[in-house]
Amino acid sequence: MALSGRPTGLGSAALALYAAYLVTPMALILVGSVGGVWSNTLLPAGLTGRWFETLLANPTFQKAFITSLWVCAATVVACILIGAPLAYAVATARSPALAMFGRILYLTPVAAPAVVLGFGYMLAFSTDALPFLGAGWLTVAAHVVVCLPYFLQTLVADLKLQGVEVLEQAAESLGAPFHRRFLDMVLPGLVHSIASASILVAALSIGEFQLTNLIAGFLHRTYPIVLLQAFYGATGFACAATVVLLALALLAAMAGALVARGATAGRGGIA
Amino acid sequence: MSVTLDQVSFAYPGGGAGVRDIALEIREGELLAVIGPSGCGKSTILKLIAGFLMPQSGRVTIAGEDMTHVPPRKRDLGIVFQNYALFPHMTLAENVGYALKLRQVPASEAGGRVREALGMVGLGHLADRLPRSLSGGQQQRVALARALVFRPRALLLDEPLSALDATLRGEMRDEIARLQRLHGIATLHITHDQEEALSMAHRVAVMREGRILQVDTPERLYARPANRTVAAFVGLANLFDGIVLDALNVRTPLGDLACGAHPFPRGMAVTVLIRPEVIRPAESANGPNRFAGSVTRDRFLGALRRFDFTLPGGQCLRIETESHVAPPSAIELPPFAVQVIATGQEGAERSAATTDDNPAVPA
Repeated sequence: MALSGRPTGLGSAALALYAAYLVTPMALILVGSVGGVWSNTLLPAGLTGRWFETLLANPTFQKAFITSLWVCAATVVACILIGAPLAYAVATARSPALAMFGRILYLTPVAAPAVVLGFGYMLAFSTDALPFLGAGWLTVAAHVVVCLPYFLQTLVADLKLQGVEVLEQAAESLGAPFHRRFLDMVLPGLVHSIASASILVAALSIGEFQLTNLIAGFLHRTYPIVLLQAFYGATGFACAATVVLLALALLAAMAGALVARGATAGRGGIA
Repeated sequence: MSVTLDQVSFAYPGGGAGVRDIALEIREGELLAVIGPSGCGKSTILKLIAGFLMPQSGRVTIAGEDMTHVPPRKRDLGIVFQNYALFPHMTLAENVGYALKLRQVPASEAGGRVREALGMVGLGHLADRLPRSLSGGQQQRVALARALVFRPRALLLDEPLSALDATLRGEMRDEIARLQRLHGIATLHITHDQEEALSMAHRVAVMREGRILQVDTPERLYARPANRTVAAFVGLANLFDGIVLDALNVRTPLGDLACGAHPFPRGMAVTVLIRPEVIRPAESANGPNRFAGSVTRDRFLGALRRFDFTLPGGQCLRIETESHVAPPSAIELPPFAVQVIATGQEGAERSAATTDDNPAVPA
């Protein structure tokens, strides 16, 4: 039921406009990926599957796709290993100053543009002392820096919502040492938010371009980096290559939405 | 086993209200309630005993052992938290059995004890449920079972009934008191509800601004409050400034009143306490301690009736009578009902801390 006085028609129109703005480019890319010739026309002429065939046969794209997958997987694992304890430390910090320091520290990568981080990495890791620019692990480390804030935001909010401090006190009063409290109370309570935050991290990592473009070497180029090259060739090929990335991102978003729904349904804070 | 706080002081780093020079004993088998307004430090006392806070001075002993710097997990105390703090991802049986698992109690024995504990609170049939499927009262019972199953040395209750509705609160008061007596366990009960404290506890400590003002049995706390602050906090009270005339008379804004015996010297500024239920309706104002006036407010409270009785000079007394009593035109203050008590903190020194003259804990 609409609230009286609310301009629902205007809202619907704005929503439709936004949806069109969001969907139109994706629809055009989808059409272009199966279109024959597309030059100076609104839509391509003809229907073909050859752009996907070409893409599948291209070793550069194959390698970049695999690189993207393992960089993404490694980033997710690193975010979980670093992020879960860090989120716990921030959420349960007794000193407000310490909590604020932690918050600033992990939010800095969000505030600093990726290009700034990229230049920093280039300066730091292209020296004789630290000649790691182009190394695969450095790309993973850079992705972790970019993705960790989003991972932490999700977990810290969830920990506070659960009232984890009181649960821990309860466990401690029953005799649980720190490691048991973390394993028995904190982690099980975070399963859903770790899952949804991991999917967010995966989506961010798969699409990350700016920072990776500056630091990834020739051997460890990720999919978005080689995708840029595709735009210098045939439009249909570029569209087909983009569709693959789009499909991955959509899959991640859908999985994230499903996990978030499961987390909401199974939510149990302090009972 | 008893729990003792010996001159314990604690101040929060940010300057929040802490506690000062707390001397308090929870005796073996006793349920001691701590009451006081919000921010008076009563929850701080619980946290100091539990070990969640470390005192800056003083000692905390449990069963005679100095526990001041022992971490909470080694104190063997059962705690029931305000919001129950049941583990949401564990079933009731897992919640209750968690302490036994940590103590590596064999599975067969642990299972029996968990069943016994849940049966004791009437929830044995819900052992496989998750906490979120229970009502507030049921969750409270599980929290109690969890706190008692490992046979702790003492039980700490942190406003355990504050999240329940009035009907359930009444039931749970009796349930907690029953379990506490059944286990004969030293219990600290933090509450802001004086009715809850008076009805459940063997003794009650009244706190204000980080200090204990009086520790006494509920009856004596009500009948003989140590000072004006305690009198005002526990039950309804008519309180007036007074000057002692002699051992049996006191000057008040109502006039000179015959009063009960008191230890204060002539000329001392005191507080005069008259409980509303001891004021009697009178047929006339002729005679000592009698006053004419009119009822300016009449509240029907079911079994009781509460009047505001205003004297010609503007002084107002609150009176409680049985509900069938008509509004009086005159009242009598029996001398025994006119109590002379200390105005400031000095009266608290008599009964704060551990009072040896208090009766033993009932069996």
